[in-house]
This record gives sequence, C-alpha cells and structure tokens, in this order.
Amino acid sequence: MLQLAVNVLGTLVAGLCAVLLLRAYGTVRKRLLLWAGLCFAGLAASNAFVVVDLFLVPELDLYRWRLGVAAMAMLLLVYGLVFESDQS
Amino acid sequence: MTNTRNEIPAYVRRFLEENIDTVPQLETLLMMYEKPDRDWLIADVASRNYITEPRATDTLNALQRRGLVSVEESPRRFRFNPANDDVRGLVAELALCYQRKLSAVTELIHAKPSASIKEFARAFDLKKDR
Amino acid sequence: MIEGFLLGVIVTCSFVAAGFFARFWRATRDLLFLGFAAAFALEGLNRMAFLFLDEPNAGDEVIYGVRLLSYLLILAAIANKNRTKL
Repeated sequence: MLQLAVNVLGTLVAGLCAVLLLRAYGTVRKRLLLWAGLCFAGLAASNAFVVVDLFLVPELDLYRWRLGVAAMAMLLLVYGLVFESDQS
Repeated sequence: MTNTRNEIPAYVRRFLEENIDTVPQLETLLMMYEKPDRDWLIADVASRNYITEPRATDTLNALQRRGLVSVEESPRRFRFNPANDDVRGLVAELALCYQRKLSAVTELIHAKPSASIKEFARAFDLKKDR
Repeated sequence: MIEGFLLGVIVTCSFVAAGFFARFWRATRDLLFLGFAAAFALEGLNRMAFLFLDEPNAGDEVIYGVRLLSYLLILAAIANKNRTKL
C-alpha cells in the first residue's frame, strides 16, 4: 500500500536526518543541530505512529497524537532556526 | 563584493571558507602560526585575542578538528601543527593576505553564513571526518 | 477542531522552516539547503490539502505521492552532498 510505503520511507529519511544532526551536535555542540535533530526525531516518530495507528491498534484513532507529535517537532525546529541559526 | 573576490586568490578563499568561521578564529590560527614552537593554553589564547575562555575553547577545538593544530593534555595545550605541507603553505599565504588586505579578508569572513549553519551542512557530509 | 489547529501549526512551521532554509541556500550556495527548503515547502502545501479531505486516514494517492516526492528531495540533497568531488 502506498501509504504504508511512504510512511516507512518517511520514518527512515527523518530518522537518518535525526541521527546525522544529533551525532554532529555531540561533536560540535551547536544548538541549531540539537533542535533540528530533535525535530527530525519527532517527525520520524510521527511517521512511525501511522503504522502503529493503522495496523497495530486500528481500534484507536491516533491521528490527533500523530499530528501533535509532528506539530511539537516543527515548533522545535522553528525555535532553533529563529534563535540559534545566527550563532557563530 | 566583486572587488573583494579578485583581491584574494581563489585557493586562499576556499581554504578560508572551509576552515575559518570567525575573525577570532583566524587571528588565533595566525598567532599560533607565527610561533610554531610554542604550546598554547586556552587562557593564553583567550587573553591574547580578547575573547572569553569558552569561545577560545570552541575555536581551538574547531581548529584541531580541521587538522590545523594539535592538542596535548595535562594541561590541555595546543600547538600549530598543520596536517601536511600544503596546508602549511596555505596558512602562510593566508597570513600574507591578512597582512596586506585585512579588510578584504574580514569582509569575506563576515559575509559568510554563521558557524551553526555551516555545521548543519557539514553534519550531512559523510565523507569528511569532521 | 484540534486537528485543524495542529495542522495549522505544522503548515505554518513548515513554511517558516522552508524560508530559513531558502535563505541558508542563498548564503551558502549549498544545494542541501535548497533540498530541505523545497521539501518543507512542498510538505506545507501538501498538508494544507488535508483541509479539503473529509477522512484524513483515507490516504489520498496524490497526497502520499507528494509526500514521497518531498522525502526523495531530501534524500537527493543528501546524496548530492556526498558525491565525490572532482
């Protein structure tokens, strides 16, 4: 199913970005990388939730929670971009 | 802007873009280059360049990651030690450029995106070993 | 109601993020940032489409196709960054 495939890919892509950014944050300690890394981790989780929502617990509707996690993740990114992106 | 680009040779500009994020970083590197036999403590670098010790630490660690200075512990001290002679030559050229065209070099540094943005991009570069 | 609010947050943040990444691309000429900017802008537009859907779990093909495209843009940007430089 296209939806499943796209969400799995989304989890992997976001997960990759999260790993790269958080790993780099461990070395260089620039907070922009921390917030961006956490954002992508949240987006990966949100994507993974779709799989859980639709296939593992079909009796519950996790849509609201999936959106909530994605919204939190994006807020972290915007916070990082606004306050940390000019940090030298 | 075009004028600035013509004043500094392209390979020096590329070296600067890849290795130097701020003016204190440049001055630290050149200061250490001028005294290659000397070991530098973080406090020395901080006071000589009028920056705080945390910033000096950041700067020295960055220079060390890029293979420009080496580090020893107990106490933590740094020394000018480029990875190879090509790099040594580039630093020498950069020192000359800075001496002769100070405003062109600082303009180039300030026109650059912040270190945070560059580190963001570097995070996705799997080839370089930071 | 709350889903609409959360979607609004996501869409707005996506566009803001896209704007920042576009600026970073202009400053650095690094295509990586262009990839991220395009991906986030595309996803922002895409999420807006949910406003017109009655059932968000129905999985409209176009919406998932666009989302797929935005993920591929990011992968392409990362792959491009790691091409062996000449």
